[in-house]
Amino acid sequence: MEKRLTMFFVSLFLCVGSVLAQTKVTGTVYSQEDGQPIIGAAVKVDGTQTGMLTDVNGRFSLTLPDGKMTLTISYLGYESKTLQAKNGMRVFLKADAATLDEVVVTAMGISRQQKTLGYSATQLDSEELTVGKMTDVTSALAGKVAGVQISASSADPGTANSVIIRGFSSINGNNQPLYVVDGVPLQQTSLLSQGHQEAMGGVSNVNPNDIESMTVLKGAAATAIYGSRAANGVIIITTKSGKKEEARNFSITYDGSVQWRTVSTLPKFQNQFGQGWNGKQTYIENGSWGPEFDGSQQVYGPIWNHQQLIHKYEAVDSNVKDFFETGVTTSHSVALSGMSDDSKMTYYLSYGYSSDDGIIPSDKDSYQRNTIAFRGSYEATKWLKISSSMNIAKTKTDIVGSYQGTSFIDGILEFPRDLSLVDRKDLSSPFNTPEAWYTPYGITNPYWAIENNYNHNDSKQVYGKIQADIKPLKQLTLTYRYGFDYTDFDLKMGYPQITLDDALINEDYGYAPSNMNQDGWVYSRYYRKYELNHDFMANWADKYLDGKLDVNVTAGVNMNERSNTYMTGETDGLTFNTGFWDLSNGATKAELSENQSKRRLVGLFGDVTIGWDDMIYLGLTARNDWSSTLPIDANSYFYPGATLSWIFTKLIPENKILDFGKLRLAYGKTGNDADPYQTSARYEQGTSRAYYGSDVAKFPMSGVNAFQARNTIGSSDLKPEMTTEYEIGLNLAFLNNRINIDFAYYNRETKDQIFTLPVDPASGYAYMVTNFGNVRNRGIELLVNTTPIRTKDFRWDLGFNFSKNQNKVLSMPASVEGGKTTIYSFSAGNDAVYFYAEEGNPMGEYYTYMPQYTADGKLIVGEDGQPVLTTDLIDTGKNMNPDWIGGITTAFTYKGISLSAALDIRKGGYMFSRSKNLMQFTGNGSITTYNQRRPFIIPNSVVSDGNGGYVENTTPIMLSGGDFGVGDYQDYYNDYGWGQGGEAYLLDKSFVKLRNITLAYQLPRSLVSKLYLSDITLSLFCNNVFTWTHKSNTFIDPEGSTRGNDLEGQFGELYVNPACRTFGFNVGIKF
Amino acid sequence: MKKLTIISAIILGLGMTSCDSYLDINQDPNSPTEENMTTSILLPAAEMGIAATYGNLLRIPAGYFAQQYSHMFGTSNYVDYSQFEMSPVRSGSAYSQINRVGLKNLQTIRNLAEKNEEWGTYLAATTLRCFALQALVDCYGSIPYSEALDISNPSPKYDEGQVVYAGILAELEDALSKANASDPVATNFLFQGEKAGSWIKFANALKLRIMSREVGAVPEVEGKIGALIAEGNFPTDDVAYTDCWSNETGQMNPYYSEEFSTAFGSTQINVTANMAIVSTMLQKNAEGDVVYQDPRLAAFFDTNSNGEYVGGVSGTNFSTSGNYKAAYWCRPAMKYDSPVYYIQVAEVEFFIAEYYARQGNAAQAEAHYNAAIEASCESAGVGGADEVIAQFPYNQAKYKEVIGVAKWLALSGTNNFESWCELRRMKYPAFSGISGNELYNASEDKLNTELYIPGTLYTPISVFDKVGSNMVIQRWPYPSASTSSNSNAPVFDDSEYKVPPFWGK
Repeated sequence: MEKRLTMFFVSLFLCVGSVLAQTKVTGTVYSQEDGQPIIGAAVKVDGTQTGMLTDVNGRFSLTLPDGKMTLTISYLGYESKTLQAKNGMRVFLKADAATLDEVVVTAMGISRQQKTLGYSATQLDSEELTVGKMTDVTSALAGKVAGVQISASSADPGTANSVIIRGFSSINGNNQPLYVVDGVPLQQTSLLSQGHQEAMGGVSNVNPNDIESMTVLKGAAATAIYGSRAANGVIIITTKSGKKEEARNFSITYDGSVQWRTVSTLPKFQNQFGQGWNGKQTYIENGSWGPEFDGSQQVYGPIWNHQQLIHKYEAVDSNVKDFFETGVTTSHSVALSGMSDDSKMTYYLSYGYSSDDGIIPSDKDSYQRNTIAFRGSYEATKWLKISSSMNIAKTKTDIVGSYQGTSFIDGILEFPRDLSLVDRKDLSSPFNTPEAWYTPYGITNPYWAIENNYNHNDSKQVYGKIQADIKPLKQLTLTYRYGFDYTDFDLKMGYPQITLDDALINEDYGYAPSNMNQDGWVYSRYYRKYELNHDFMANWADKYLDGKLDVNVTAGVNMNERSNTYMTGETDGLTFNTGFWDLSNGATKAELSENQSKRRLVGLFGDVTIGWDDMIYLGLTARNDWSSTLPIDANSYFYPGATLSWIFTKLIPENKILDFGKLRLAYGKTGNDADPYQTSARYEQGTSRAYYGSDVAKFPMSGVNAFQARNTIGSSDLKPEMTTEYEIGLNLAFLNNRINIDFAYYNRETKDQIFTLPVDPASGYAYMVTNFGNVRNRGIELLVNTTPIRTKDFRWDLGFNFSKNQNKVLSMPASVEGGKTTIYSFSAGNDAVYFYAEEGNPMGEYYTYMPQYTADGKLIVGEDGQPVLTTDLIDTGKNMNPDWIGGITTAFTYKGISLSAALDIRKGGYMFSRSKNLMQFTGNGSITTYNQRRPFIIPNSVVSDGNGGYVENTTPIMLSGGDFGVGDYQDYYNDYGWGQGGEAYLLDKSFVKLRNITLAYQLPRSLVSKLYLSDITLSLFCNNVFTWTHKSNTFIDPEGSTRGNDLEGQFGELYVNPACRTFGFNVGIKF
Repeated sequence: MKKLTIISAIILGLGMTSCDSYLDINQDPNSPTEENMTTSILLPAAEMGIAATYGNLLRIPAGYFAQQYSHMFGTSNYVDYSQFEMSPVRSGSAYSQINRVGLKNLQTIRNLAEKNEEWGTYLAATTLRCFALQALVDCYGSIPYSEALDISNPSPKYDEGQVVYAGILAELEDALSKANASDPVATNFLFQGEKAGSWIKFANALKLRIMSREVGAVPEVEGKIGALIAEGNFPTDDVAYTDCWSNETGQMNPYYSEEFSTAFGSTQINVTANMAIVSTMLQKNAEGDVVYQDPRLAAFFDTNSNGEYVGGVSGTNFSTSGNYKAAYWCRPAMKYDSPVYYIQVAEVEFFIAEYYARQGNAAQAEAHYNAAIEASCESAGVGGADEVIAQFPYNQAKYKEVIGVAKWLALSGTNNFESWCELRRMKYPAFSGISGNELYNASEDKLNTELYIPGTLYTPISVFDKVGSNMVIQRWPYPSASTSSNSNAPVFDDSEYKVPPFWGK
C-alpha cells in the first residue's frame, strides 16, 4: 500500500528523464533497520523534473543534468534524505513513524494525512481485505478494527453481514454504517426473507479485488459531514485506479481461488433414546422422547400400501452431520489498469466472478456474482480533471428458507436419533415424500423440502459517478460530483401444494399424512430503487506564515434523492403442485400490492482545518440538513463538530524510545431524519387476522372494497434524532515504530430517537411514531500493532485490538410500558421472551417467565412437582451486548513466505435460540437425558404448605407423569424450560473464533520475471477454522440470527441454518 | 475566488427558493388521504375486524371453556384452553383487533356520520361498537373505555365493567333516539342493502342481552327489560353474517378458514366435540342404546370416521393414546359460508323466558322457553323441537338450570362465546364433581363415557392450577399487549382467574 502510493505520486509528479546526458550515477537504497534494499524508492534530482524509482534490488541509475548534483531520496514511511550524488552510493533510509504519515481518505473523499486527524480512523489495505478470499468484503473486517463488530447472521451463501460500529444506538432505525465508494454513498440493499438476510446489493456487490483501501470512521466528529446517514459511522471504500507500474505503464492482474465449505457447528445430540413421546414408542412422532435404545428391529412410520419401514432401534450418531455436503466456492477476478504515456489519462477495468454453493445438499443454497468495474480519469488541462466510475453487478441467490412447515432445518432438528437421513434422498419413494413420510406432524423429509421449496433472487446494480475537478487557482479546487446507484431485484418464492388423500394409507397410527396438506404458494416481488447524489464542493488549501500555518477549507451542498418501488404478487391453491413458480399457477386470484416511497434531503456543509507547524491541527465542521421526511415546517436541523489534534512529540527532543505521539480530542453531533411518511395518519385496505392465519378477512370481499386505519400512527411534530459524541484519543509509536498504539475513549448519546412505539391497542393503534429516549454508548478502543522481530529476512507482526462498549438506555418515558419498550418479542403457546429497551438497562434486555425461588434460594414447585413460573414477564438480567470484543492478528514473513492468522473474540452477551429450544422440545438434545430420564424430584425444591410457608417437595417428575397425577418429564422440558422457565431460550453468545489462517508464498522475482510477469502469489487459507463457544452453548454458532442484521437481529435465531468452515487456495498473477 | 462566490450564490439561490416544493413529498402514495374517507369505505372493514375476532379468536377458547370443544389427538395448539387456561400473551390478539380494526374505525365512522347527520349509519356504528365493547367486558371484566381511542393518551385507564355497561347502554339509547327506521345506512355486510330498521331491532336485542346480563348487579334494570320486551321490536331472523363469505382465502367464515380450510398453508386441526356436549345431546342407557338424540347434533358436529358421535375430554390431546386417535374424534360442522352469529332469535326468546321466570310468570316463561328451542332448531335447519322440549322440559322451580342447559345446547354450534358468558352468569350447566381423569383413564387408555352426567360440566385433566377444580375460568387476564405498554393498566392477580365480571358475582 505504502509502496504503491509512492509510486502513484511519483509517477504523477515526475516526468521520467529525457534530458541532456551528462554525469551518470548509480546507487542502492537500503532500509536502516534491516539493511534490506528498498524497492520503489523515489530518487529525484533536486531542481529538476528528473528522477526514477529504485528497482527490485534497490538500485537506481541516473544521469545528472549539468550542474545538478543533489539527490533527494524518499519512500513513504521513511524519512527523506537529501545528499550529494556519488557513483556507487549507498543510501540508508530511516523509518519514519510510518503509518502516521500515511494518507487516509476521509469524509467526502478528501485525503488527509493520518497525523492531522483529530478522530479515530482505521484504514485497511487491499491485502488485508482479500486475505481470506471472502465473497463479501466486510467479512474481512472481522476482528481487525477496534470497536467494530462484524457478524455473519448465517453461513448461507449470499448473506449480508451485520456491521456495528461502537454499539447499537438507534432503537428503531438502522444501526449499520454508511458505505461510501469513491465519494458516493452506496445504498444498502438487503432483504430479510424467510429468516435470511439476503444481500441484494450495496457493499456485498463490491468486488474485494477492486478495493485499494477501506477506512472506518467511527466517531460523530468524523462523520458529521456526511449528514444524517453517518450517525452509525462511515466505511469509506477507495477503489483501485489506473497507475504506472515499474516496467510498463499498464498491468494485468489475475486472482483466482477455489474453496470448500463444510458444516462447522451442530447441536450436541443425545444418542440414548429414540423416536417416541412420553417415554413410549410412537411410530409417527418426530423427536426422540421414546424408550431407550435396545438394538431391536422396529417398524416406524405409517403403513402405506401394506408396506412399512423397518430399522434397528439404535442411535444413528451422525445422521444430521452426514446430511450436509461439501460446498464449493470459486472466484476469479481479472483487472487491466494503466496510464497513458503522457500520464494524463488513467484507466482501470476489472471483471470479477464468484460462485458460492453452500453445505445444503443441492444447489438451492447458492450465490453467484458477476461484477464489472471501470474507472477513468482525464486531465484535460492543468485546471480541469474529469473522472468517472461505473460499476455493474449482477447476482443470483438461492436460499433454503427457515422456520416451520416444510423447511429443511426444522426437518433435521426434529429428526429422531434412531433414523438415518442420508438414505432418504430418493424422492420417488412415497416413504420419502409427505405421502408416507414417517411423521405428519408439520415437518417432512428435508430432501423433499429442499427440492420443493423455492426462494430465488436475481439482482442487478449499477452505481458510479461522474466528477469534475476544476482548479481555477492553485489553492482552490471546485468539485462537482454526480453519484448514482440503481438497484433492482426480482424475488421469487414458493412452497408446494400438498394434496394427499391417504388412499394408500392402511394405518396412519392416529394422524394421517393428509394433515400435512397445504395450499401451496407463489410469491413474486419486483423491486427497484435508486439513489442520486449531487455534491458541489469548494476546497481551499494553502499554507501561510512560512508554511507554518496550514489552512484547508471545504464548503459544499449535497442534494440527495432516494426512491423505492416494488410490486408484490402472490397466489395459492396451485394447479401444478410444485416447480412452476409463476403467478398464473394459482387457482385463487393473484393478489397484487404495490409500494412506493421517495425521500429527499438537501444539506449544506462546511469543514475548516487549520494546522500550525505540523504540530497542532484544529478542525471545525458544520452541516445543516433539510429533510422531506420531517414535518415540512420543521424540517431543518443543524449539527456542528470540532476536533483537535496535537502532535506533542514535536515538543520533546528526538529520542530512541518515543517516535511519535499525538493527542486528539473530538466533539461532534449528527442529526438523523425519519423514514418517509411518518408524519401523518395512513389507511390501508381492510384486513383482519386469525390465531395463525393472517388476512383471514381480506378486502375486497364479496365485491366490496373497504379501508381501515393502519396500525401505526404518525406524528406531525416529529423532530430529528440527534447523536452527540465526544472522543479522546492517543496515538503513540515506540522503538523505531515497532510498537504502535492507538487508543480512544468515546461517549455517544442518541437523543429524541424516532421510534415506532408499541402502544395499548385501546388507543386505536398498535404503534405510534414518536421521539423519545436517550441511549448512551461509551467505551474504549485500543489498537496495538507490534513487530516483535524484524531481521533481514524474517518479520513477525503481532496486533491486538480490544474494545469495550457500555450501552445504556438513559431515559425512556415512563408513560410507555413503564419505562421500557419492546424491540422484538417471541411468543409460542404460553412461552414468551421479550426484548426490551428499558431505562437504566442496556439495550436488548431479555424478559421472560421465570421460575420462582424462596428467600433462601429453593425452587418453588407446584403440587405436581413442576416449577411454578411467574405469570408476569421478569427481567432476566441478561442482554444482547457483549462485555467486550477483541481480536488478535499475527503474521510471520520469511522472504516470500508469509503465514498469518486472525482471531476474533467476543465475551458475554446473550441471544434467543429456537434451535436450543428445539433440542429440549424434541428430546434430541444431549440436555434432555437428565437422570437418564428416570423419575426425579427437582433438587432443592419446595412446595407451598398452604399457609404461606414452604415444605420440602416430595413429588417426582416422570415420563407420562400426567397418568400418575404428577409432573410430566417431557413437560418439564417443554413447558418449564428444564427448571429455567423462559430463560432456557437464552444462550451465552461468547466465542473465540479463529477467523482465518493463510499461508502465502510470493514467488521469487527472478523466477517471475522469466515468465514475463511481475508477481505470482500462491496462498492456502482456511476461514472460520475453529469456534470455541461458551460451555453452555452446545447448540449453534452464536453469530447466527434469523431476524436480520440490525438491532432486531440481535434478538437471536428461529431455526438458523448451521455455520460453516471454509478452506481453499488462491492464485494471484500480475503481468 | 470570484468564480466560487458566483457559483455558490447561484447554487444556494436556486436551492433555497425551490427547497420547500422540492422537499414537500411526504404524502404516502399508497394510502388514501384522510379527507377522502367516507363511512361506506370504512364500515365493512370495521365490521370484519369485529366479526373475525368474535367469530374465531373469541369463539375457539370459549368453546373449550364451555366444554363444547375438546382437543384433537396429537396436536397441541389449544390444549391450554381445554385445561381452562388463558395466558396474557394469547389474550392479546382479540383485544388488539377489536380495538384497532373495529373500534378505532367505528369511531371515525361515528364522527363522520355525526358530522354529516347520517343517523342510520351512526346507529349501525354505535350498535357494533357496543356489541364489541360488551364482548371485551365479558372477557376481561374491566377495559379502557372512557379514555380509550385517543392517541394523545397512549396509556388509557381501565374502567370497571359495570361503568362500561352503563356507558354503552346510554350510547345505544342516544343512537336509537337519533335514527329512524327508514334512514339509509352506509355499505355494510350485516344487513346488506337494508335501512336502519334492521339495526334498530339489532340494537334492541343487544340492549336485552346487556341488561339481562346486568340483572342481579343492577337492581333497577328489571323494569327497563320489561319495557323493552313490551315494545317487542326484536329481530325476526338471527343477526349474523351470512352472505358475505366465499370459498377463497381471506373470504371465508374466519373460524372455518383457520381450523378447517387449507387457506393458510397447512390445516390447523385442533377442535373436536366434547364429551359433555355430545353425551348430553346423545344420551344412551346402561345397555348403550340411544335413548335421546338431539336433532341439532348433526347440524353442529360431524360424525367420526366410523359414522359415530363421540366426545373428547377436556385437558388432554390423547397424545399417547393407542385407542383414540385423530380419526376417532368428531369435528364441529363448519362450512366456508357458515354464518358468524351475533345474536340469535333463540337467545332473545331465552332472555324473555328468563325475565318472565324471574317475574314468576311460569306460563309466559315456558312459552318463550319453548319458542327459543323452536327458533334454535329452525336456525339449525332441523325439525324435532318437540323432542328437545320433551327431553328438557321447562321447570319454573329450576328455571335457571333448565334455561342454562337449554341455552348451552342451543349455542354449542353457533355462538360458543355467548355460551361461556351465560354459563358463568347463570352457573348452569353446573359442575357434577367428576374429573376428567375419571372420564379418561390415561394409564389404561380408556374412556369412561358412562360416568358423565348429562347437562353438567367436569374438571379438565391437568386443569389450570389458577382455576382449580369444579370451576370454569371466569376471566381472561389483561393482555400483555396492553399491560406491557400501558402504565395505567391494572395488575391482574392470579386469583382473578376465578372472579367473574361484575354480572357474574
